Amino acid sequence: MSEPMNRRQAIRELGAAAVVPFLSGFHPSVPPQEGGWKPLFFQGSEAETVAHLGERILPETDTLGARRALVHQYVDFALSRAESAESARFREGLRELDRRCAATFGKPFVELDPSRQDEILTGISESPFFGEMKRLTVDGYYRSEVGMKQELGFEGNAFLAEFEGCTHPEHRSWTAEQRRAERARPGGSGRAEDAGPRESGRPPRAGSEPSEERGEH
Amino acid sequence: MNDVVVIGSGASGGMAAYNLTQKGVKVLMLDAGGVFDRRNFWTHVLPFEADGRLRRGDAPPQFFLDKKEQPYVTPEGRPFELARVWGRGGKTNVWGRVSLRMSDLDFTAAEKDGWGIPWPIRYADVAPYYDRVEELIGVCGGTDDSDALPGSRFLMPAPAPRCGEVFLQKACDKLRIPIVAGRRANFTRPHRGFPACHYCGACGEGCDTASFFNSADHLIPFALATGNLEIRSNAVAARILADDGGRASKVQYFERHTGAEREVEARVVVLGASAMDSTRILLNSKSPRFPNGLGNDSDQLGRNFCEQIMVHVRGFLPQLFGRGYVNDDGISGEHVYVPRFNHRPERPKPDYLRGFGIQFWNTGAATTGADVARHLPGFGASFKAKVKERYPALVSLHPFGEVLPRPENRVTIDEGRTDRYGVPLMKVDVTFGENERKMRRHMYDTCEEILHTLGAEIVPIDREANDVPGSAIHEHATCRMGKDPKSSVLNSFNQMHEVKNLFVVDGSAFTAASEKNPTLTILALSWRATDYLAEEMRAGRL
Repeated sequence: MSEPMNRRQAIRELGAAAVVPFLSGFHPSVPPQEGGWKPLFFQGSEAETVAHLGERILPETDTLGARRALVHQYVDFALSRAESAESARFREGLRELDRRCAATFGKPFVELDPSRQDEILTGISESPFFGEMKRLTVDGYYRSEVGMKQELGFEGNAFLAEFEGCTHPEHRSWTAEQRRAERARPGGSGRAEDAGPRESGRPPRAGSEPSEERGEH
Repeated sequence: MNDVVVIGSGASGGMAAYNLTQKGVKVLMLDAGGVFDRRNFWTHVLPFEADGRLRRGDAPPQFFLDKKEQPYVTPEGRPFELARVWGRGGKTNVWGRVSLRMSDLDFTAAEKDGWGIPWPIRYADVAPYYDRVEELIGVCGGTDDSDALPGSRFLMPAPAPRCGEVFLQKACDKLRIPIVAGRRANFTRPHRGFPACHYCGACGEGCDTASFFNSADHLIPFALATGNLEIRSNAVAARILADDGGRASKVQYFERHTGAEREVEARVVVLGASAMDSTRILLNSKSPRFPNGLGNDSDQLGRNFCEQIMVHVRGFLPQLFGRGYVNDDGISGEHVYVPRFNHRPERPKPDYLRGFGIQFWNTGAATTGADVARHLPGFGASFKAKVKERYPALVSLHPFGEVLPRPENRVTIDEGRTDRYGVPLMKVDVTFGENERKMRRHMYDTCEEILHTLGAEIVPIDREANDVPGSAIHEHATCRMGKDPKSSVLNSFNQMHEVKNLFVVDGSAFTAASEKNPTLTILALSWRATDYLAEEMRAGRL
């Protein structure tokens, strides 16, 4: 596992520079277009509204938010391929959002400051439109490299020689001895044969000390 | 004439060919699809790489058969999810790998509770074959041995549990619920010339190093090496033709891509096309002697469909909140397993028959970060923090409960609707009943109990929900074995009561489903059946 850890550190040290191609380019799920991104489904100010919406759902913190991760491009692409009834409902949801903003604050969503945007979103948080927007944002963000790697720190799908499993002493305070004692208690399930994955949950390995000595204390 | 024609190349057909060819029997295998090339598997393509690759014209192998190519019929309002893989290795290319021995708790269930017909075999009949199969296919597991899940000397070391699984062990210990090492056919050591599992967690995409059992890599090449196996790919078996004496004499098939009709002669036919397709083939094999389908004097062919009912309960463990990313990929599935326990004397007697076990796949940091977020309320920086905090803290509980065999849950053929070759489609009519609903309640209760014990944040549950029938991809009993030819189709060696030179070796031969994943048992029974077949052939009785 040392190789991926190094790679992960390297990416962190490079910081945002490592993802510059993303910022000016295309969401990884969206087909590149000549001359930069143009919406496939959104019209007029819709893309901008969705970019603002996405940013309120997953804002920039110590990692990039949905806007700079280009999640609005993902939402546009997904809607361009959705059933027409579904995408029409979404479009109506965007209109309803701006009507609501106009009625409450006299301005469209994109012109509100973030705290007012949040106020509006809290008001519609149970609506099907918001649910759909959140679902698309979450999918577009956490399935992107920014979401998976930068935000969640994903380093899986690797080639490992051994699988370590849980190595945290504080989790593994439940030792094989305790498990046996618990099961031997009156009323316990009491069957030694149920004692579980190799007692300690760690496969014996040639050349290593007995498994129960490792990481158990 | 071919000695034996084997229909299907998955677990059952692959094993039949493997065993028979080793014994010097000449085998012709008909496989409905082509060959899946391991070099093209998307085992190491991450979600954010997939779309770009697709656009470049690269595509992963299409394991699952397109329903448009081969439709099936379900009644209005009674959906059934049928997963079929046509091609070398069949579903073992992407199977779940869970390898659990059935026990006498399963084999004697009908005698004890009176539901359905008894199995004609006992654990002792299958045990030697379980040994051989485990040794051959490379199953990892623990040292446990119980009346619900018999132990084995032939297992590779179990992988270490993930953090979440350590907590599941604690909770189950407190609740006196048995929890043992999971058993899956992933190689935790190099095996028969194949490398050990590299713990990438992407088994569902097919393994690019063939480090879990797959008929295409671990059975068929060995059969081919004997020189006794010929494989005809893209040969979609349609019917088995009987001679005037009622013996199987030919197999009719269609070339998948051209639709050309062909026939091959056979001294013996071994059917391993998967439960539903084997049943369809037999039901379509009508003759004056067998007007209701081949070997179907009992009217049991297509009836008694059974499988497992599945529900899913998820929770987040506060003990693991914010611990940061840990690679939890492992062998992809769970490393711990809760075998059936509701029969134990210290447990209250259930208000339903049979039992369930619990699997735990998708416990820990998932390869798809989005899964966690989907279950969390709110938005904004606090939502983003919540997602990150819970990403490594997910535990997923998946109980599998036995669905009882009932004659009205059945596969028939729809004479009025045919596939592209003019062969009538299968019609599947399956619903779950009261016993399953009662068991489902106990399944949810148990999962909640485990999660409450850990103080977990439980993702809201719809207790009326379960997966659509068919979702387990463990279809059984539509061509069941039994002692009495009046109530069963096959004898205890998977041989048709009424057509002695026809053996059905896939999951359709099971008398009942049990709560366990069936592939290990399918492999064992196919091995056993073909041992018997070869001996009968040698003795001149076939």
